[in-house]
Amino acid sequence: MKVLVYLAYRQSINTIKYITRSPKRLIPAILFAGIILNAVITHLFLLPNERLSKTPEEVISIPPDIMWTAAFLILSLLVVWAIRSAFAEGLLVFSASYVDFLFPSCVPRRSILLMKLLGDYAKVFFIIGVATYLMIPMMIRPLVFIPNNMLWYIWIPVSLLLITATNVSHTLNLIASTGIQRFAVANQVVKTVILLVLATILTFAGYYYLRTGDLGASLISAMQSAPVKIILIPITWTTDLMMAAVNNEFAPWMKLQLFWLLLLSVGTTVILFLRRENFYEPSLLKSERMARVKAAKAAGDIGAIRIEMMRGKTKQSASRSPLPPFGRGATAILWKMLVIKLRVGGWRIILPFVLIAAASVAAEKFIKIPEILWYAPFVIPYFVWVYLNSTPQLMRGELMQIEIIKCIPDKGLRIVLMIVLNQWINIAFLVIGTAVCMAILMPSINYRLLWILSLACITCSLPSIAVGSIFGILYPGTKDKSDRLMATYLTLPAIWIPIIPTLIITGLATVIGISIFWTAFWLVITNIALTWTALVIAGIVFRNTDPQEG
Amino acid sequence: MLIVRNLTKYYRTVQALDNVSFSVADGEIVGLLGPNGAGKTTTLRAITGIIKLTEGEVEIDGFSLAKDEQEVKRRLAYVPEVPNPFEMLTVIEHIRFIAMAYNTMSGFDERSERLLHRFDLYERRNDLVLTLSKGMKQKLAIICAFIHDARTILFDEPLIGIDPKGARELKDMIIEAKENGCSVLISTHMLDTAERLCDRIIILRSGQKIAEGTLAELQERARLTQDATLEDMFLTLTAEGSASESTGLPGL
Repeated sequence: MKVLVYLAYRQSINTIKYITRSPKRLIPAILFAGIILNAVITHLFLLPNERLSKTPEEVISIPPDIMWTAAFLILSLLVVWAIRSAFAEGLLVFSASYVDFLFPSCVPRRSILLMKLLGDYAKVFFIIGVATYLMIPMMIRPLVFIPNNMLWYIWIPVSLLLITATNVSHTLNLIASTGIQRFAVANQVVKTVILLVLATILTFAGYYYLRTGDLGASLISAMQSAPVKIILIPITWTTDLMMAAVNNEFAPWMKLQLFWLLLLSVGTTVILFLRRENFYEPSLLKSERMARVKAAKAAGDIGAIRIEMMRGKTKQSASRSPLPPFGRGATAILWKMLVIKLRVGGWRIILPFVLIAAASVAAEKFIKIPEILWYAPFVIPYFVWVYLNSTPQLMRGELMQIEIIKCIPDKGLRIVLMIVLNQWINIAFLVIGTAVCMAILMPSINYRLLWILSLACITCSLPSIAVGSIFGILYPGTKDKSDRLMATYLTLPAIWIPIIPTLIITGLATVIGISIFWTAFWLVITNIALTWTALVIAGIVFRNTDPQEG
Repeated sequence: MLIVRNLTKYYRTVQALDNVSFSVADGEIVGLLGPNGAGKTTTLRAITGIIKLTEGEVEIDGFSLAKDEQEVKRRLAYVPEVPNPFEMLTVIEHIRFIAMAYNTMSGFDERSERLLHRFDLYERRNDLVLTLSKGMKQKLAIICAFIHDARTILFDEPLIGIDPKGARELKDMIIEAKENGCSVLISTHMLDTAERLCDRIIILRSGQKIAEGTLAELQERARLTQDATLEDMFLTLTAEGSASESTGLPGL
């Protein structure tokens, strides 16, 4: 144990020294800490710890039973995912250094497991804590107000539930990994239990549907039926506690729910810790994969991350090209990127639009204030802005294959253009998909604003990507993580340069009432000129930068 | 002494090792050869206890891995093929950490200094592992293997990525370990090195041991002349295995 404490202590001290000794690393770290600190101070201390002028009921009218069911459903899915994952690859993930130097050593396995579990639990509490105290209030404060002193009724129960689910996953994985037969049986048992729970819900839903004829209400009633609540009792307790925080109504008997959740998490930890199986092998596959992904991420190697995502896919899906070859010279880069995108995309391409469609339906149904729906198209520029911030990272990912890219006998400008075009296709796809979802599913929306903003986003994202890419090329630092932060921090203000003309044109179009045609015309002309300028600069930088220098 | 008996390993339904048995005596260097995917790394990982055996037994100096894991590991050192040392430790901290893990801190300063000098890492001892090149990380892993008093040393492709001086030092150290009575098992594709360094050779193919013996014994087994190299023997024996597998006839 002493040796593991020494390891953790020295690593922490060295990390601090490593960051503080270089301004290139220190400045991004201070900026990052500043952003977090600002959010903490603003949301926990500066904003009044009370409801805004409008009560939640005036802004949003989600019936309590729907909110309860939604929370219950999300938590259930989270738990099922955690348990099922144990049978895919195992969840006890260690760093590659542990595999190479600690697994073969004579440090007792239980000491390694104890340190690992302590670290994991601390992470769960930290992540859920950040989500509860910063992200949730930031996102839902205008709609649902939760007093600061009630937030821990979300933080603690959700953390305990996830710890319990993770412990169950680890334990099942350990028990099952001692033999093929045992694995198959355990896998089958878990699948059967999940299917039984699902069947119970559907049976009750069917029963209620026959009585009421309302499918949505029947599903909600089924989820709230006593047998389902009892089968998934830890999730029920957690949901009750979350709703207590949302409604600011804490009943004394809820302390008992909290106590049971605590007991469950401690109990499952003890059971896991007492297992005698060797956990090294179950963790190996995932640990090695995570090590590869981590290395790829540290290097900004999007290609390698994609390859990891491809692992486990069937040979058939990898053997057929989803797109016929086109173009020559630098265009081949675009073809390659599109092929990879289509190959690894699958449900990842569809899922965002399913979520956007669901959010559109929910907004239309539950948001009462028409102004909110009227200005809903502004989420599109927000999505685009978030995406644009990742531009340098995507460029750095492509630069990892510099041995191929720089040898292509074509102009630097055209090579950069193809990489930029690939990202622009992503944005255009996102914008069009979102706009269509909103147009169809939100009849209360401002259609003129929706089309103008969509058009503006599609056109101005092209020069913005080109500008962002310049910093990706300037700070390629494949060995230094601080390069990634520098590129991002410089991109943040720089992408506004090409956005300003678009803002002026769309502002005039909205205020003066210029037709969509002329708005589109000026947007296209301006942004093509800006893109061309940025690409010329990016092309020169590309030819003169050595990405391996970082 | 390392004894491996009936090593069998399944990854779910795929058989990675099939009833592999061999031993490495005290003061002996044994080479573990085989084409890619033959099961060499799986064998080494099974010996270190990183992966579990489906069947079989590993014994070091009379201690069984299944029953006395700590005693076995105390006597064992392992150098992985592509080592991933803890990057946020300095070189000297990493070596100290390994020495602490094996409870061999007495005489640490003198031993670590000697090893750092031998592998040209002395000047870099206070640098973070993060700043080392791939070859230097390999050297660090080798130093970590020699920092404690291991009686059995396992190497997985130890010479890949090391400069010529480092490679010479490593070969010298392997020979010194042999002279000190250690059992050394080296998995490698570098047949000329194996030919010069190893007392015996074991050839694996598709998880099975297809040949074992001294160079002379392998020559005889492969029905080759005395001037045949290990490369000739390896190619003949592994091709023989493939042919017998495709025809279904043993030994053809």
